[in-house]
Amino acid sequence: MIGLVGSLILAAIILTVAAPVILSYGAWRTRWPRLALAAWHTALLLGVLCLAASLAVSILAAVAQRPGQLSNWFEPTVLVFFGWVGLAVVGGLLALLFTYTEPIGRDDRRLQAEFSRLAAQSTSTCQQVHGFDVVVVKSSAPIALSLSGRESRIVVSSCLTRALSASQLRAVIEHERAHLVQHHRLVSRIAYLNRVCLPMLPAARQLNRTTGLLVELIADDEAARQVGAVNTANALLATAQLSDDEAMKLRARRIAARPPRGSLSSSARVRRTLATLAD
Amino acid sequence: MAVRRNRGELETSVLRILWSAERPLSARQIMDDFPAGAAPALTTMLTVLDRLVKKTTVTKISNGANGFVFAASAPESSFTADAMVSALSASSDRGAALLQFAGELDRQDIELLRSVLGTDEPSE
Repeated sequence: MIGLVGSLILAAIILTVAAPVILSYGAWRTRWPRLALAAWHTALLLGVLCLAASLAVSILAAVAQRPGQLSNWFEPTVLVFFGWVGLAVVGGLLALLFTYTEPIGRDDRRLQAEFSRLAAQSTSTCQQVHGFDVVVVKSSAPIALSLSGRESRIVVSSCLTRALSASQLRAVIEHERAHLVQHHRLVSRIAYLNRVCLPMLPAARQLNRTTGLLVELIADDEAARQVGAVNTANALLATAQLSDDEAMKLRARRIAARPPRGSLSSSARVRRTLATLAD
Repeated sequence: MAVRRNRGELETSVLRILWSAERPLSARQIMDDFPAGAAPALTTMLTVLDRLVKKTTVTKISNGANGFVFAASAPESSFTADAMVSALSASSDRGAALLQFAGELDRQDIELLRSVLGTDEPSE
Protein backbone atom coordinates (compact mmCIF):
# COMPACT_ATOMS: atom_id res chain seq x y z
CA MET A 1 0.00 0.00 0.00
CA ILE A 2 2.84 2.38 0.81
CA GLY A 3 4.10 1.82 -2.74
CA LEU A 4 0.75 2.85 -4.24
CA VAL A 5 0.43 5.92 -2.01
CA GLY A 6 4.03 6.90 -2.79
CA SER A 7 3.45 6.46 -6.53
CA LEU A 8 0.38 8.69 -6.44
CA ILE A 9 2.23 11.41 -4.53
CA LEU A 10 5.18 11.12 -6.91
CA ALA A 11 2.81 11.45 -9.88
CA ALA A 12 1.34 14.63 -8.35
CA ILE A 13 4.82 16.07 -7.79
CA ILE A 14 5.93 15.20 -11.33
CA LEU A 15 2.78 16.82 -12.72
CA THR A 16 3.38 19.95 -10.64
CA VAL A 17 6.98 20.26 -11.78
CA ALA A 18 6.78 18.96 -15.34
CA ALA A 19 3.47 20.40 -16.53
CA PRO A 20 4.53 24.08 -16.41
CA VAL A 21 7.81 23.27 -18.20
CA ILE A 22 6.11 21.28 -20.97
CA LEU A 23 3.04 23.47 -21.36
CA SER A 24 5.03 26.73 -21.39
CA TYR A 25 7.36 25.55 -24.13
CA GLY A 26 7.05 27.16 -27.54
CA ALA A 27 4.45 29.33 -29.22
CA TRP A 28 1.74 26.69 -29.56
CA ARG A 29 -0.30 28.02 -26.61
CA THR A 30 -0.90 31.38 -28.31
CA ARG A 31 -1.85 29.59 -31.52
CA TRP A 32 -4.25 27.13 -29.87
CA PRO A 33 -5.18 28.92 -26.63
CA ARG A 34 -8.23 26.77 -25.95
CA LEU A 35 -6.20 23.56 -26.13
CA ALA A 36 -3.52 25.12 -23.93
CA LEU A 37 -6.08 26.20 -21.32
CA ALA A 38 -7.62 22.72 -21.29
CA ALA A 39 -4.16 21.12 -20.91
CA TRP A 40 -3.19 23.39 -17.99
CA HIS A 41 -6.41 22.79 -16.11
CA THR A 42 -6.34 19.05 -16.84
CA ALA A 43 -2.84 18.93 -15.31
CA LEU A 44 -4.19 20.74 -12.25
CA LEU A 45 -7.14 18.34 -11.99
CA LEU A 46 -4.90 15.28 -12.37
CA GLY A 47 -2.54 16.57 -9.68
CA VAL A 48 -5.44 17.14 -7.27
CA LEU A 49 -6.91 13.71 -8.09
CA CYS A 50 -3.55 11.98 -7.47
CA LEU A 51 -3.20 13.63 -4.07
CA ALA A 52 -6.84 12.92 -3.15
CA ALA A 53 -6.44 9.27 -4.23
CA SER A 54 -3.23 8.87 -2.20
CA LEU A 55 -4.99 10.25 0.87
CA ALA A 56 -8.05 8.06 0.35
CA VAL A 57 -5.92 4.92 -0.15
CA SER A 58 -3.85 5.57 2.97
CA ILE A 59 -6.93 6.24 5.12
CA LEU A 60 -8.77 3.16 3.82
CA ALA A 61 -5.69 0.97 4.31
CA ALA A 62 -5.17 2.29 7.84
CA VAL A 63 -8.83 1.74 8.75
CA ALA A 64 -8.82 -1.76 7.22
CA GLN A 65 -5.94 -2.92 9.42
CA ARG A 66 -6.94 -5.47 12.07
CA PRO A 67 -5.05 -5.75 15.42
CA GLY A 68 -4.06 -9.32 14.60
CA GLN A 69 -2.36 -8.23 11.37
CA LEU A 70 0.07 -5.91 13.12
CA SER A 71 3.11 -8.17 12.74
CA ASN A 72 4.50 -5.53 10.40
CA TRP A 73 4.04 -2.29 12.33
CA PHE A 74 5.91 0.00 9.93
CA GLU A 75 3.42 0.16 7.04
CA PRO A 76 0.28 0.82 9.14
CA THR A 77 2.13 3.47 11.16
CA VAL A 78 3.24 5.30 8.02
CA LEU A 79 -0.26 5.06 6.50
CA VAL A 80 -1.95 6.36 9.66
CA PHE A 81 0.62 9.15 10.00
CA PHE A 82 0.20 10.14 6.34
CA GLY A 83 -3.58 9.95 6.67
CA TRP A 84 -3.63 12.34 9.63
CA VAL A 85 -1.14 14.74 8.07
CA GLY A 86 -3.10 14.64 4.81
CA LEU A 87 -6.38 15.36 6.57
CA ALA A 88 -4.77 18.26 8.43
CA VAL A 89 -3.46 19.71 5.15
CA VAL A 90 -6.88 19.28 3.49
CA GLY A 91 -8.53 21.01 6.47
CA GLY A 92 -6.02 23.87 6.27
CA LEU A 93 -6.56 24.26 2.52
CA LEU A 94 -10.36 24.24 2.93
CA ALA A 95 -10.07 26.95 5.61
CA LEU A 96 -7.84 29.01 3.29
CA LEU A 97 -10.26 28.45 0.41
CA PHE A 98 -13.18 29.66 2.52
CA THR A 99 -11.18 32.68 3.69
CA TYR A 100 -10.56 33.75 0.10
CA THR A 101 -13.93 32.71 -1.34
CA GLU A 102 -16.07 34.61 1.16
CA PRO A 103 -14.80 38.14 0.26
CA ILE A 104 -15.00 37.22 -3.43
CA GLY A 105 -18.70 36.38 -2.98
CA ARG A 106 -19.23 39.69 -1.20
CA ASP A 107 -17.47 41.55 -4.03
CA ASP A 108 -19.66 39.73 -6.55
CA ARG A 109 -22.83 40.95 -4.84
CA ARG A 110 -21.45 44.50 -4.70
CA LEU A 111 -20.57 44.38 -8.39
CA GLN A 112 -24.02 43.04 -9.31
CA ALA A 113 -25.59 45.95 -7.39
CA GLU A 114 -23.32 48.49 -9.10
CA PHE A 115 -24.13 47.02 -12.49
CA SER A 116 -27.86 47.29 -11.74
CA ARG A 117 -27.41 50.97 -10.90
CA LEU A 118 -25.30 51.56 -13.98
CA ALA A 119 -27.91 49.92 -16.19
CA ALA A 120 -30.72 51.92 -14.59
CA GLN A 121 -29.10 55.32 -15.05
CA SER A 122 -31.08 57.63 -17.29
CA THR A 123 -27.99 58.16 -19.46
CA SER A 124 -27.64 54.42 -20.06
CA THR A 125 -29.14 52.48 -22.92
CA CYS A 126 -29.70 48.75 -22.90
CA GLN A 127 -30.11 46.22 -25.69
CA GLN A 128 -30.06 42.44 -25.89
CA VAL A 129 -27.45 40.54 -27.90
CA HIS A 130 -27.93 36.76 -28.03
CA GLY A 131 -29.70 36.77 -24.65
CA PHE A 132 -27.26 39.06 -22.83
CA ASP A 133 -27.96 42.62 -21.71
CA VAL A 134 -25.53 45.02 -23.34
CA VAL A 135 -25.56 48.31 -21.43
CA VAL A 136 -24.01 51.40 -22.97
CA VAL A 137 -23.06 53.90 -20.25
CA LYS A 138 -21.97 57.48 -20.67
CA SER A 139 -18.28 57.48 -19.91
CA SER A 140 -15.13 59.01 -21.35
CA ALA A 141 -13.07 55.88 -20.63
CA PRO A 142 -12.60 53.37 -23.50
CA ILE A 143 -13.93 50.43 -21.52
CA ALA A 144 -15.88 47.23 -22.15
CA LEU A 145 -16.60 44.82 -19.31
CA SER A 146 -18.53 41.67 -18.71
CA LEU A 147 -19.90 40.49 -15.41
CA SER A 148 -20.99 36.89 -15.10
CA GLY A 149 -23.35 35.50 -12.54
CA ARG A 150 -27.08 35.08 -12.27
CA GLU A 151 -27.50 38.26 -14.30
CA SER A 152 -24.70 38.26 -16.80
CA ARG A 153 -24.20 41.65 -18.39
CA ILE A 154 -21.89 43.42 -20.77
CA VAL A 155 -21.09 47.10 -20.24
CA VAL A 156 -19.65 49.24 -23.00
CA SER A 157 -18.70 52.89 -22.51
CA SER A 158 -20.07 55.58 -24.83
CA CYS A 159 -16.46 56.53 -25.60
CA LEU A 160 -15.97 53.13 -27.21
CA THR A 161 -19.26 53.24 -29.13
CA ARG A 162 -18.20 56.57 -30.67
CA ALA A 163 -14.67 55.42 -31.51
CA LEU A 164 -15.56 52.09 -33.13
CA SER A 165 -17.55 51.20 -36.21
CA ALA A 166 -20.65 49.04 -35.81
CA SER A 167 -18.73 45.91 -36.86
CA GLN A 168 -15.84 46.66 -34.53
CA LEU A 169 -18.25 47.27 -31.67
CA ARG A 170 -19.85 43.93 -32.42
CA ALA A 171 -16.38 42.35 -32.15
CA VAL A 172 -15.97 43.87 -28.69
CA ILE A 173 -19.39 42.54 -27.64
CA GLU A 174 -18.62 39.08 -29.08
CA HIS A 175 -15.32 39.06 -27.16
CA GLU A 176 -17.16 39.78 -23.91
CA ARG A 177 -19.91 37.32 -24.79
CA ALA A 178 -17.28 34.60 -25.28
CA HIS A 179 -16.07 35.25 -21.73
CA LEU A 180 -19.62 34.76 -20.45
CA VAL A 181 -20.63 31.77 -22.59
CA GLN A 182 -17.38 29.86 -22.02
CA HIS A 183 -17.39 30.49 -18.25
CA HIS A 184 -14.02 32.22 -18.24
CA ARG A 185 -14.75 33.74 -14.85
CA LEU A 186 -15.00 30.27 -13.31
CA VAL A 187 -11.77 29.14 -14.98
CA SER A 188 -9.95 32.32 -13.89
CA ARG A 189 -11.27 31.96 -10.38
CA ILE A 190 -10.05 28.35 -10.07
CA ALA A 191 -6.58 29.48 -11.15
CA TYR A 192 -6.72 32.47 -8.79
CA LEU A 193 -7.80 30.41 -5.77
CA ASN A 194 -5.15 27.81 -6.57
CA ARG A 195 -2.54 30.58 -6.54
CA VAL A 196 -3.65 32.26 -3.31
CA CYS A 197 -3.97 28.91 -1.50
CA LEU A 198 -0.59 27.63 -2.73
CA PRO A 199 1.48 30.81 -3.15
CA MET A 200 4.76 28.96 -2.69
CA LEU A 201 4.22 26.81 -5.81
CA PRO A 202 5.63 28.33 -9.03
CA ALA A 203 3.20 26.12 -10.98
CA ALA A 204 0.23 27.77 -9.23
CA ARG A 205 1.52 31.26 -10.10
CA GLN A 206 2.13 30.20 -13.68
CA LEU A 207 -1.32 28.65 -14.04
CA ASN A 208 -2.92 31.88 -12.85
CA ARG A 209 -0.86 34.05 -15.19
CA THR A 210 -1.38 31.75 -18.18
CA THR A 211 -5.12 31.50 -17.58
CA GLY A 212 -5.42 35.31 -17.62
CA LEU A 213 -3.67 35.48 -20.99
CA LEU A 214 -5.34 32.46 -22.59
CA VAL A 215 -8.93 33.50 -21.80
CA GLU A 216 -8.29 36.80 -23.57
CA LEU A 217 -6.82 35.06 -26.62
CA ILE A 218 -9.73 32.57 -26.70
CA ALA A 219 -12.24 35.45 -26.56
CA ASP A 220 -10.34 37.28 -29.34
CA ASP A 221 -10.49 34.15 -31.50
CA GLU A 222 -14.20 33.69 -30.85
CA ALA A 223 -14.89 37.33 -31.76
CA ALA A 224 -12.89 36.83 -34.96
CA ARG A 225 -14.97 33.76 -35.83
CA GLN A 226 -18.22 35.66 -35.25
CA VAL A 227 -17.47 39.00 -36.94
CA GLY A 228 -14.25 38.40 -38.85
CA ALA A 229 -10.55 38.73 -38.14
CA VAL A 230 -10.32 42.18 -39.74
CA ASN A 231 -13.04 43.70 -37.55
CA THR A 232 -11.64 42.09 -34.40
CA ALA A 233 -8.06 43.20 -35.11
CA ASN A 234 -9.27 46.71 -35.94
CA ALA A 235 -11.39 46.87 -32.77
CA LEU A 236 -8.36 45.85 -30.69
CA LEU A 237 -6.13 48.37 -32.47
CA ALA A 238 -8.60 51.24 -32.14
CA THR A 239 -9.16 50.54 -28.42
CA ALA A 240 -5.41 50.14 -27.89
CA GLN A 241 -4.80 53.55 -29.44
CA LEU A 242 -7.38 55.16 -27.14
CA SER A 243 -5.82 53.66 -24.02
CA ASP A 244 -2.21 53.31 -25.25
CA ASP A 245 -2.29 49.61 -24.43
CA GLU A 246 0.65 47.64 -25.77
CA ALA A 247 -0.91 44.23 -25.03
CA MET A 248 -4.01 45.00 -27.12
CA LYS A 249 -1.86 46.05 -30.09
CA LEU A 250 -0.03 42.73 -29.90
CA ARG A 251 -3.33 40.84 -29.64
CA ALA A 252 -4.49 42.68 -32.79
CA ARG A 253 -1.30 41.67 -34.60
CA ARG A 254 -1.73 38.07 -33.47
CA ILE A 255 -5.25 37.91 -34.93
CA ALA A 256 -4.13 39.62 -38.14
CA ALA A 257 -1.00 37.51 -38.59
CA ARG A 258 -2.70 34.19 -38.01
CA PRO A 259 -6.50 34.47 -38.09
CA PRO A 260 -8.20 31.63 -36.20
CA ARG A 261 -9.79 28.86 -38.24
CA GLY A 262 -13.28 29.78 -39.35
CA SER A 263 -12.68 33.53 -39.21
CA LEU A 264 -11.11 34.18 -42.57
CA SER A 265 -12.89 35.31 -45.67
CA SER A 266 -11.27 34.10 -48.84
CA SER A 267 -11.45 37.50 -50.49
CA ALA A 268 -8.17 39.05 -51.56
CA ARG A 269 -9.19 42.35 -50.00
CA VAL A 270 -9.53 40.81 -46.56
CA ARG A 271 -6.16 39.10 -46.92
CA ARG A 272 -4.52 42.37 -47.95
CA THR A 273 -6.07 44.22 -45.00
CA LEU A 274 -4.91 41.53 -42.57
CA ALA A 275 -1.39 41.62 -44.00
CA THR A 276 -1.30 45.40 -43.50
CA LEU A 277 -2.56 45.09 -39.93
CA ALA A 278 0.00 42.41 -39.10
CA ASP A 279 2.95 44.54 -40.29
CA MET B 1 -51.07 40.16 -21.17
CA ALA B 2 -47.81 40.75 -19.32
CA VAL B 3 -44.77 41.35 -21.47
CA ARG B 4 -42.00 38.76 -21.01
CA ARG B 5 -38.68 40.43 -20.19
CA ASN B 6 -35.46 39.35 -18.58
CA ARG B 7 -34.78 40.05 -14.92
CA GLY B 8 -32.06 42.65 -15.54
CA GLU B 9 -34.39 44.73 -17.71
CA LEU B 10 -37.13 44.61 -15.06
CA GLU B 11 -34.72 45.66 -12.32
CA THR B 12 -33.59 48.58 -14.46
CA SER B 13 -37.20 49.70 -15.00
CA VAL B 14 -38.04 49.40 -11.29
CA LEU B 15 -34.97 51.42 -10.28
CA ARG B 16 -35.81 54.13 -12.80
CA ILE B 17 -39.37 54.38 -11.42
CA LEU B 18 -38.11 54.58 -7.83
CA TRP B 19 -35.56 57.24 -8.78
CA SER B 20 -38.20 59.38 -10.45
CA ALA B 21 -40.70 58.99 -7.57
CA GLU B 22 -40.71 61.64 -4.84
CA ARG B 23 -41.67 59.17 -2.11
CA PRO B 24 -41.34 55.48 -1.39
CA LEU B 25 -43.72 53.34 -3.46
CA SER B 26 -45.50 50.06 -2.84
CA ALA B 27 -45.12 47.17 -5.29
CA ARG B 28 -48.57 47.93 -6.78
CA GLN B 29 -47.73 51.63 -7.18
CA ILE B 30 -44.52 50.69 -9.01
CA MET B 31 -46.57 48.42 -11.29
CA ASP B 32 -48.96 51.33 -11.99
CA ASP B 33 -46.01 53.43 -13.19
CA PHE B 34 -45.14 50.91 -15.90
CA PRO B 35 -46.44 51.78 -19.40
CA ALA B 36 -49.88 50.34 -20.14
CA GLY B 37 -49.68 46.58 -20.67
CA ALA B 38 -46.00 46.42 -19.76
CA ALA B 39 -46.34 45.85 -16.00
CA PRO B 40 -45.15 42.45 -14.75
CA ALA B 41 -47.25 40.20 -12.51
CA LEU B 42 -47.30 41.10 -8.82
CA THR B 43 -45.33 38.00 -7.83
CA THR B 44 -42.65 38.86 -10.41
CA MET B 45 -42.53 42.42 -9.12
CA LEU B 46 -42.11 41.22 -5.52
CA THR B 47 -39.31 38.87 -6.59
CA VAL B 48 -37.51 41.68 -8.43
CA LEU B 49 -37.90 44.01 -5.42
CA ASP B 50 -36.65 41.30 -3.09
CA ARG B 51 -33.54 40.86 -5.24
CA LEU B 52 -32.90 44.62 -5.32
CA VAL B 53 -33.28 44.79 -1.52
CA LYS B 54 -30.76 41.94 -1.14
CA LYS B 55 -28.33 43.83 -3.35
CA THR B 56 -28.89 46.92 -1.10
CA THR B 57 -29.87 48.89 -4.20
CA VAL B 58 -33.41 49.35 -2.83
CA THR B 59 -34.55 49.89 0.77
CA LYS B 60 -37.67 48.15 2.13
CA ILE B 61 -39.63 50.32 4.56
CA SER B 62 -42.53 49.20 6.76
CA ASN B 63 -45.75 51.08 6.06
CA GLY B 64 -47.66 49.85 9.09
CA ALA B 65 -50.81 47.91 8.32
CA ASN B 66 -50.42 48.71 4.61
CA GLY B 67 -47.43 46.41 4.21
CA PHE B 68 -44.15 47.66 2.80
CA VAL B 69 -43.00 50.45 0.52
CA PHE B 70 -39.74 50.63 -1.40
CA ALA B 71 -37.25 53.42 -2.13
CA ALA B 72 -33.96 53.61 -3.99
CA SER B 73 -31.10 53.44 -1.49
CA ALA B 74 -29.37 56.44 -3.05
CA PRO B 75 -30.53 59.11 -5.52
CA GLU B 76 -29.61 58.76 -9.18
CA SER B 77 -27.53 61.93 -9.02
CA SER B 78 -25.12 60.27 -6.59
CA PHE B 79 -23.94 57.88 -9.31
CA THR B 80 -21.78 59.24 -12.06
CA ALA B 81 -21.24 56.64 -14.72
CA ASP B 82 -17.69 57.77 -15.34
CA ALA B 83 -16.63 57.23 -11.74
CA MET B 84 -18.48 53.93 -11.54
CA VAL B 85 -17.01 52.56 -14.76
CA SER B 86 -13.53 53.54 -13.63
CA ALA B 87 -14.09 51.97 -10.21
CA LEU B 88 -15.50 48.82 -11.76
CA SER B 89 -12.62 48.42 -14.17
CA ALA B 90 -10.08 49.16 -11.43
CA SER B 91 -11.64 46.52 -9.19
CA SER B 92 -11.16 43.73 -11.69
CA ASP B 93 -8.35 41.27 -11.26
CA ARG B 94 -7.87 37.63 -12.13
CA GLY B 95 -9.96 36.53 -9.16
CA ALA B 96 -12.80 38.94 -9.70
CA ALA B 97 -16.09 38.52 -11.47
CA LEU B 98 -15.25 41.12 -14.07
CA LEU B 99 -13.46 40.45 -17.29
CA GLN B 100 -12.40 43.38 -19.44
CA PHE B 101 -11.90 43.74 -23.16
CA ALA B 102 -8.49 45.24 -22.37
CA GLY B 103 -7.60 42.13 -20.37
CA GLU B 104 -5.28 42.03 -17.38
CA LEU B 105 -2.08 41.28 -19.20
CA ASP B 106 1.22 42.24 -17.62
CA ARG B 107 4.78 42.74 -18.83
CA GLN B 108 5.53 39.00 -19.01
CA ASP B 109 2.41 38.35 -21.13
CA ILE B 110 3.46 41.19 -23.44
CA GLU B 111 6.96 39.75 -23.75
CA LEU B 112 5.50 36.34 -24.61
CA LEU B 113 3.24 37.84 -27.32
CA ARG B 114 6.17 39.84 -28.70
CA SER B 115 8.39 36.78 -28.90
CA VAL B 116 5.63 34.76 -30.58
CA LEU B 117 4.99 37.51 -33.13
CA GLY B 118 8.71 38.01 -33.68
CA THR B 119 8.74 41.69 -32.71
CA ASP B 120 11.38 43.19 -30.44
CA GLU B 121 10.13 46.74 -30.59
CA PRO B 122 6.86 48.04 -29.10
CA SER B 123 4.04 47.92 -31.66
CA GLU B 124 3.34 51.04 -33.67
